[in-house]
Amino acid sequence: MTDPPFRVGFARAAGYAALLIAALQALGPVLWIVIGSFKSKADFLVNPWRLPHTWLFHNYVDAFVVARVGDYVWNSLTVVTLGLCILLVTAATTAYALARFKFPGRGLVTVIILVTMMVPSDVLTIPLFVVLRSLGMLGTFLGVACLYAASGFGISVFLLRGYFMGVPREVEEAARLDGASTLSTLWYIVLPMTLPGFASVAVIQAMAMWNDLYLSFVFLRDPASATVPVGLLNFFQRDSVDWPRLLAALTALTVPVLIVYAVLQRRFVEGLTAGAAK
Amino acid sequence: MTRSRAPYVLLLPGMVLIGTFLILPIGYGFWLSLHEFNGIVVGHWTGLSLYRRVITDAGFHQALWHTVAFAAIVVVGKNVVGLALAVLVSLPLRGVRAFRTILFLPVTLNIIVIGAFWTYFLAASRFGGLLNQALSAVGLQGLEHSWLGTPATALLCVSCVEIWRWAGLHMLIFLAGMQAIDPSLYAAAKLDGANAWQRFRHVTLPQLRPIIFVSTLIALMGAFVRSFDVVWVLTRAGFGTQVVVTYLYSEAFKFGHFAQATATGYILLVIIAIFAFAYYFLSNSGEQHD
Amino acid sequence: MSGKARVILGVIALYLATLGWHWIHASKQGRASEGTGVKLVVFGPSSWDGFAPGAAEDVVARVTGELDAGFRIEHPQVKQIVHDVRGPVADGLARLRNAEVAGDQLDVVVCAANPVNTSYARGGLIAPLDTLVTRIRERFTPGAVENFTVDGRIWGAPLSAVNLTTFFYNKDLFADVGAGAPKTFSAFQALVPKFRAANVIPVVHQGKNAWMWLFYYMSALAQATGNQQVLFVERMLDGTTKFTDTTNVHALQLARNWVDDGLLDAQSNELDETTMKSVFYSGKAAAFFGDTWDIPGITSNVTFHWGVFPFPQYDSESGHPEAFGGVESGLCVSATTKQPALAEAYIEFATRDENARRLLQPLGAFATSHKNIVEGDDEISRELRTQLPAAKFLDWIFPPELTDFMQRQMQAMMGQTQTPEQTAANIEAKYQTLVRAGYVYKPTGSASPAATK
Repeated sequence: MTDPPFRVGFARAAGYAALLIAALQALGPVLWIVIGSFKSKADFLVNPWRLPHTWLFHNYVDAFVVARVGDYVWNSLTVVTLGLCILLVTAATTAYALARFKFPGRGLVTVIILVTMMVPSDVLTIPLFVVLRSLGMLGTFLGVACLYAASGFGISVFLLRGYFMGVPREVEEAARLDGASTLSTLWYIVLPMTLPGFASVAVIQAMAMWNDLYLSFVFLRDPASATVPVGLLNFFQRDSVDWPRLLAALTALTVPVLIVYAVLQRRFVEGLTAGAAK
Repeated sequence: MTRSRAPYVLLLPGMVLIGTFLILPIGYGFWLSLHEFNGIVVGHWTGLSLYRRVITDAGFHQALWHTVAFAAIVVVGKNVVGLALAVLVSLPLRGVRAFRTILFLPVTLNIIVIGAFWTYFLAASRFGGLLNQALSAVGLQGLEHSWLGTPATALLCVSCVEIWRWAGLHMLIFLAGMQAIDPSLYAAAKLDGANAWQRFRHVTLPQLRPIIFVSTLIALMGAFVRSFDVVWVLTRAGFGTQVVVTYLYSEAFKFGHFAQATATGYILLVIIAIFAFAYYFLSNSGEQHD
Repeated sequence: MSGKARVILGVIALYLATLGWHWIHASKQGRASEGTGVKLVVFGPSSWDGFAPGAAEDVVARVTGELDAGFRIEHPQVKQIVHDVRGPVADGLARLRNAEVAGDQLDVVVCAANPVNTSYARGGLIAPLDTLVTRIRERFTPGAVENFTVDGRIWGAPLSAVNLTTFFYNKDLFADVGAGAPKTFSAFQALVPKFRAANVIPVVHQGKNAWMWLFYYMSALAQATGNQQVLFVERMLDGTTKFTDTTNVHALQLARNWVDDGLLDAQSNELDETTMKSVFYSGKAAAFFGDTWDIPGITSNVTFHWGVFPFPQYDSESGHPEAFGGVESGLCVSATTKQPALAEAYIEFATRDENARRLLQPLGAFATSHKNIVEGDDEISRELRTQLPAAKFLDWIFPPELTDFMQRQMQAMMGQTQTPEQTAANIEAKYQTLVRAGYVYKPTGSASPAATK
């Protein structure tokens, strides 16, 4: 490095400071949730910011035993996994076609995908009802999973297309010359090289599906099929929202999500550069 | 699978999915918006008269104006903050990787909690609002304000919360893009004597162009189509924050004007299409590769 | 392919197995029971629409269970009664509509009187119930049946507590400034400097929920029109009187005085129901104007002495204070039910005095829909009973688009961003838009619904 040591030290300090500020503003609500989850209802209402009068753990127990949060988690996991599988398969293939192949109608397909991203779900409620009912998928996890996949499709295709376009062509040509089919090229060559991007898309979409309230509220009306966001609505009872219990449920739900994200993040999003091909 | 048929085979799964679950409903919905429809019974043909009614409604104009302002702030904000965060967490500092997880946190949060937290945070100091309390603590009482209760600042605050909420996601998008940049390009720039800022401007940014395009597209869609949640929990769409999607929701579910709401949705689609395609052709990034 | 890949495949296989089970499981749920016997579905569009609302969960389960058991003894062919009561209040209409559109089985609908008047009846979501209710009319108070009468037809059988708008106040804080419940506006006004000195907010309001601001307007209008507010509103709606009429503007000004004279916190628009109540429960504010449905929340959260008092008398006005309210909810028949006779039988059974008494008893209500059921004997209930009979909520008369608009206008006015004159002018303009779009006011008594579009 040609920079003098003083400047490096300063830059480093500035970097840390910026990171710290950024982290604090991201952590604020999380700390609030965690602190709130240990309070009693009255304690929370009086002052939601300060530390609990007494640290109570029963909110967590109540959340899982009384409010049956575990059931919601199970349902959410099911729908999200299903939706993610459908989405990744369809989006990867479509994105690859758009990224690497010149064919008549390519522009049209792009436009169609763009347009489908622009319609708010409210508007499609009734038509979707009709479609799902004719397919016999109303109220099923598969139906909602397909809807999730369809809503995330446009964004995923564009993101993946962007990442695929960054892969050097020589590698694919080499594979093609060796006799690999298009699908094999996609699976064995392109995907590993774009793993950070692919993983990011998976993470982002999983998050969106996990947090979706509208589609699951409208299409999974059976209480036994409620996903997490729908189930959390039940905390908003008639007269008194049990905030601490709700916050306990949210903490319990956010922590595993974060762990999964952190693990995936380390494994895939960083460090696996495109240099592997060289 | 022959070479020439490959793209069509690849496209098949995706097209089946969106064909059934998006294109078909969109078409059917459009057909519905041309009739009188109260949510259960389809009435007689009304043609485009519902569209005309929406376009001439003052409430719609206001909502549209708010949405455009909101989108402008949010799209720029998400990109700038997201990119800044991505750069920040790519710095050669120790322990920087932990921050990648921390900064992604807001994306994982439930909207109800986000609403509750920010409502409490921005409230008046006597109601326990931290921001106002902090301002008066450092002697800036004059700046204390009803942030979410005043028309001008309410929209700004809602935009900021939306940016705050999604910055981590854009950070992730940019990070993944930055990972794919060929390190030899940086090495070459360094040899040419470029400092960090110049390397960023001349290597990182150009390489990220397709990613920036996608990020903007996502931000644009989010601002127009998926902004319901954040507006609703913070202000219940009052105080100058009524956006087109909340307007649509009121029409459909409060007043039962389903067909009119659907018409609003399609008008929104046309408007976004104009924005998106303008951006698409301006940035031209579709033409850059192959 | 390494051990890692095998692990991944194993996990995927496990997931697929679970998915398969859940898929089958979830598919079965949606269909009607395939066993022998009949299934009855009692639907509550939101979590507010159940039996004994507000009572503890186990109490609700117990009384519902007892009712159902009794019904099945009388109707042995009924093998299963399902209660589907969930969701936030704001989404109730959407939930009901979605369920009917989806073709779910819906027989009895527990519905709140407000949406019955503003959307369910005219929206074709419930079926008229004239024959049944006329037959069992004797059970109910006359006002209760009135609450469920829309356009001259009866749409539901009332079964609930009566609710009433009222002020809630912190007796301890009032005692600290040497006062009891204020009877007049000026008496209340005189307390403001004392509250200020004690660093207490006199009155707060859940201003973020625009719809609650109408309570102030209604109360002011009642006094400004010499208690002829219903007639006055009808004249505004059929065009005889304008919304910019001096009486109406005066009523708006009276409401606005709460803020201008320092009684009502000027930043109430920041507060929703949770934050407002937390300000009251924690003793930062001395009073709020709400409704008796707030009582269960107050009793379970408050640590000080509290009481109720009616809306104060404006000294200058000829009218006396009125409390607004009515029967809260009742039972209706879904428009899409395939078993209307059975649904009606259930409703008839539930509204019998002995059964209704069991359902209403946990509420300890000061007044109910039934003549012979009167619970609450405490001081609060007695005080509330003196404010009966309740006047009709005015927003049940306005068309929903206008109500929504008026709520927002009130919100802006009470937030001090526009004057009462401006507010009245805006409302008149909106009314004219609706008229041009085809709105015609049809007073109760006509058989066809008012055209609103």
